[in-house]
Amino acid sequence: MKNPSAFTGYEMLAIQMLFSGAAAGFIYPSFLIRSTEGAYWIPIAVWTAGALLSSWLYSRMLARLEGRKLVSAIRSSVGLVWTSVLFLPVILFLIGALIVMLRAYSEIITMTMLPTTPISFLNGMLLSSAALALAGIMPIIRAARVFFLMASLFTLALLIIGFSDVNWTLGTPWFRTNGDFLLDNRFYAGSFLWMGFAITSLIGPYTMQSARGAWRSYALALICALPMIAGYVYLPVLTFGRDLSQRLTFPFVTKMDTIYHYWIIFDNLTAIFVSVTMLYVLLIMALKLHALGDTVKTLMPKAKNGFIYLGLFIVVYAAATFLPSWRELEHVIILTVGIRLYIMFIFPLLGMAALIVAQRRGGKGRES
Amino acid sequence: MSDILASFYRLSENPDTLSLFDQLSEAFADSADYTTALIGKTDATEYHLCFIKSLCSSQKLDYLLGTNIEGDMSAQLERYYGTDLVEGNSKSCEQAICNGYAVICKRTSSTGLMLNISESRQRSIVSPITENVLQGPMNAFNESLDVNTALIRQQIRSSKLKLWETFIGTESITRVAVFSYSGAIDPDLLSKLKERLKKVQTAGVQDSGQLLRLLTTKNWMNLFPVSVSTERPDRVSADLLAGKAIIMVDGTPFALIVPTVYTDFWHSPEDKYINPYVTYFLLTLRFLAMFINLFLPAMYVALTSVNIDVNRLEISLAAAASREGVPYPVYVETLLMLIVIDFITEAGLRLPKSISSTVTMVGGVVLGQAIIQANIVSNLLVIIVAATAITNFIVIDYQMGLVQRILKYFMVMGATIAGVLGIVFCFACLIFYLSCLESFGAPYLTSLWSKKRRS
Amino acid sequence: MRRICASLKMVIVCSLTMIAVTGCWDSRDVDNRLMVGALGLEKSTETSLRVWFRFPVPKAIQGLSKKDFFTMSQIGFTVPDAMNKIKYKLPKALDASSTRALLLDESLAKTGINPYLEFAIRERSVPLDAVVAVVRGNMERIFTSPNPTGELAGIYTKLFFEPYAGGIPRKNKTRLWEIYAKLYNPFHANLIPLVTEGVQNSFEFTGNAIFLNGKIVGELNKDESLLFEIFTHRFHDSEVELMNRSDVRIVHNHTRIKTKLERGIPIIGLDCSLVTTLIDSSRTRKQNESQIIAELESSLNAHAKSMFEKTQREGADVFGFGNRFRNRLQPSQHGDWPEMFKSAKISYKFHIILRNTGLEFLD
Repeated sequence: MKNPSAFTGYEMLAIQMLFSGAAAGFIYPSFLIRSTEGAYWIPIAVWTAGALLSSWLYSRMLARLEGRKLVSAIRSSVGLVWTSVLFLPVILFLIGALIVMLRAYSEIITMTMLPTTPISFLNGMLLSSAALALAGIMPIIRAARVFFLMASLFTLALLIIGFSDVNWTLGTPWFRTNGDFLLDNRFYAGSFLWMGFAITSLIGPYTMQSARGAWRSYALALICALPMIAGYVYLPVLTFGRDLSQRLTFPFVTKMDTIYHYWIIFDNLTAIFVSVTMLYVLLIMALKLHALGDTVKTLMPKAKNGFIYLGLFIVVYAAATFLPSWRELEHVIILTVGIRLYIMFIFPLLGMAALIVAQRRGGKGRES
Repeated sequence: MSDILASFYRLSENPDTLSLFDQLSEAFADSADYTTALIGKTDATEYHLCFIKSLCSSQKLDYLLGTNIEGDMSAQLERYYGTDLVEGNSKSCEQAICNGYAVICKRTSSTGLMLNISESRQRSIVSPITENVLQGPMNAFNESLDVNTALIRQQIRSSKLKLWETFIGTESITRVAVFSYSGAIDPDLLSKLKERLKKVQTAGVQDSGQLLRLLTTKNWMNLFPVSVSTERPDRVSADLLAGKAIIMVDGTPFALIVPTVYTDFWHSPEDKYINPYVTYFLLTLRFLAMFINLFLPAMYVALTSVNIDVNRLEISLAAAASREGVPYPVYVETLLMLIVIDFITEAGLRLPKSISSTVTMVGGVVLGQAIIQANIVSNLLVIIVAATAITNFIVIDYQMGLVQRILKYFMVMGATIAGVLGIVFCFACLIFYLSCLESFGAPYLTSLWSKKRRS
Repeated sequence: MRRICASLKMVIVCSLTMIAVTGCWDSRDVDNRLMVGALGLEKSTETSLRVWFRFPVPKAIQGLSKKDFFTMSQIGFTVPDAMNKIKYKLPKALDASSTRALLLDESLAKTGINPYLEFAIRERSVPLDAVVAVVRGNMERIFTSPNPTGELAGIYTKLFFEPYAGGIPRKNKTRLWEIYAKLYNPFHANLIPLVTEGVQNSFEFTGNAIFLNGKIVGELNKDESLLFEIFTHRFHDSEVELMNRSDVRIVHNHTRIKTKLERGIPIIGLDCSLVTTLIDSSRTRKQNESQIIAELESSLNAHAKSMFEKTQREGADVFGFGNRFRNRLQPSQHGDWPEMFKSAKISYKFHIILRNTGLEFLD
């Protein structure tokens, strides 16, 4: 409790699992299903490896922080201007990710549960996330633990129930792939699912040990989340077959729609799925907002905290509200692929370089 | 005894100021129960005994006033038993009289001797009233801090049980004690707590709950109770050993346990006395009751007005049938009914026991039946409201139960606007709010997990 | 913390004004909705269709009419169009979100159901778990005449097919999403139960309609339907197979399916083991165990033969065998599967065990 913003292993696990839950449930499956004709687990596995590599790079960078925060450490080593240049894509990415997550979730609500409620009102749920983000990282972590407990139980139950009406022969081909996904931009568009570690890296001070521990819990979280991600992708495919799944905007939602059991109290599991996803989404939006707010705060130390979050809220809310349609949203996701790849692989290398340069300089300075 | 007499004769005299006797007479001028008695007379001066009749023990007084005034004073004073005599000036004498002491002074002296002849009026030790004990220690605190201290000491017979005392209230001068178990408590917490207690500025405190409100800043933020208040010594001693601090206020049987986290409100001390499986069952039951209490009315609103497709067609039809002819929207009838049931609950609580059962009868049965027949609410709703009221009583902590009663309205609001999602959103907001709360440095949402790890 | 207070205050104020200004959009009380229990689609003219709506009526307002349902029909170009138009006639809001059954008229099914079902998955107005059946006979009579067993809150048709109620394997419960999934799956053709207008009640089960590309191309009778259930692992309950002289109940079955592709010809081998019990045997001619088994086997073989002939003639792979070939065919070949299925070699073998139980043992 003394070190207010270092994650413990369990908290890291909870947050990363929540991140997977928030990102994998509704946008990701349709991207992945449309990206390849071959086996689906292969692109998932490729990205898992990519995520592990990216997070490993990040953890190497974080190990050099020596108890400082990432943004302030880089700022003190290369100066404000270069830090701003370095972090501009990060800020853009976070804002983009927030817009996409908020709008996509509002869309899912409009399509399933509240067809006539205006998107502008639904987007207002960002308010609660913004308030939580403003309250600091500890409340976010505490809320994450509660949400993780509840949401993971519900998600597990939904996934298990999702195995009804599954026809395993529809999942074929199981092992064949021709690598077509590597040429499909939707494969790269799905990268947002694998960036959980990049976001937590921006929050909180890290030391050598905590960076290593964080990476380890991230890897564990990834392994735990894989069945969930696979379930979100495969269950619709095993029920509807590939051809219909490719045409669906939210395959898993439609899958939930089809489930009817005499013994399930609720008739409409979609409602439960969407509700649980709300827990994931609200918390992850708060986390992203906090990461964003923290970064902006370090770059603009004079700005007031409240105003930063208010500004961010307005920007995200307005952008999410004025996006005209779901297709535009998909375009945004595909257009921002470059930024995401930069953040996943190039940014940690640059950051590391900046920190090493600073160390050298600092070392020399001390010697002379 | 000769010491007493000696000090008696040595009482200082300061001719410049008003004598103590006059000062006291002036201070207690309009107090009918302030009594002075002449207990001795020498050539030079008279000796007076000043006290407040209602605070003193008549038996002890008897010794002092038993014989005639002209009698030998030393003989009388010898019969005084009690603590040592202390000499004090006018201010301390005045305070002492308020505490039930008698003051003996010379007619002209500026100081007096204080004799403890106080008797505190209190209930005897009875079983707890707000927390029903089924099996377990049956005694409960009463209004006397000394008795309560004794009760705690009887539970923990160890020198490690520490007691720190202070006075709070510029006028009431109430004794407030902080108990802690030095092996278990976080010293940081203790010092912070003492610091905060010292800073409290108020005219007077009557109850520990009031003290808690004074201790916590930003009162409007604190919807949830940040401390368990209990009248059970066994709970207090168990929590002391678990490393918590106990605040007790003289004059109230309720002890405050700090810091308290959310889950503490769901544990009864009896949970430790029974079979663990039963405990888990009861715990599940309580949380289930909490969720039902929180969500049931809101779910009714959501499922009958927004998300019809979530429940089975049969249920929808039943709800439609029961609502047929009700002229108000679902949320209006729900709010109406919830308020009525809260009226009934409150009326039942406040009235004497003999009448309250009649009130609940009239309210519950007659009103419920009539309101359905008048087609103001649907009969499905009556079931739901009744279930909500019952589950509210499962909440162990009274204050938490009160909060729950408020929260269900919040949930109904969410359900009205956005159905099931509104409920989930409100619930998420509630969790966010809870996670921002802290109780004396401990995060309110600390789960059982971290507590285990810390120990 | 002060900032949190401020922001919380803001949250409360904002949300309160939002509520006050805008109100609740999707809030419509349950008693102000008319919930559709069953939908019927019937061909009206060449381009339009007549949609039948059957609304179950809550008990409280049944009093006057003594009818527990209420029927309306509407002509429209599509189902959503008809739904929009019927709102002109209804006193309460139309709510199709808990529709339990979707009945398709046979004439409609013969011309193609694809364009009319598109709405279900796009708009999500009708639940995807509604049961679907093809109706032969007068749709109007089915929708307007009361069920002798009562409306059961509009779920009569659903219960008719549900395994937990009146559903038996032969009825082949088909849900809307299955039809939709198979419309898009080139390897799997639809098989939708066929009900005929009944004499005593609204309808009775007569067989299963084979669909290819959304059009009826054939029909399986009840016995063939049983084999279909056995081969596709959908057999969930014991079912009586009636033979000439003895009645046998199939209590357990297991089918292994082996497939391979030889020179472009799919070869499908079915190996089916059945555990049966004897229910009733004819008194006039005693049979022993092996005779019964032989008879059962021959009848099963005959049904299987006719069933595969029917489906293969049309190239309608209602069994979904094609899904097993997905791996072996290139994506470009997927569309050819119906043609390949026509030439597929299907062999089947039955292993029958007659469990000799009952109060009277067989010789």
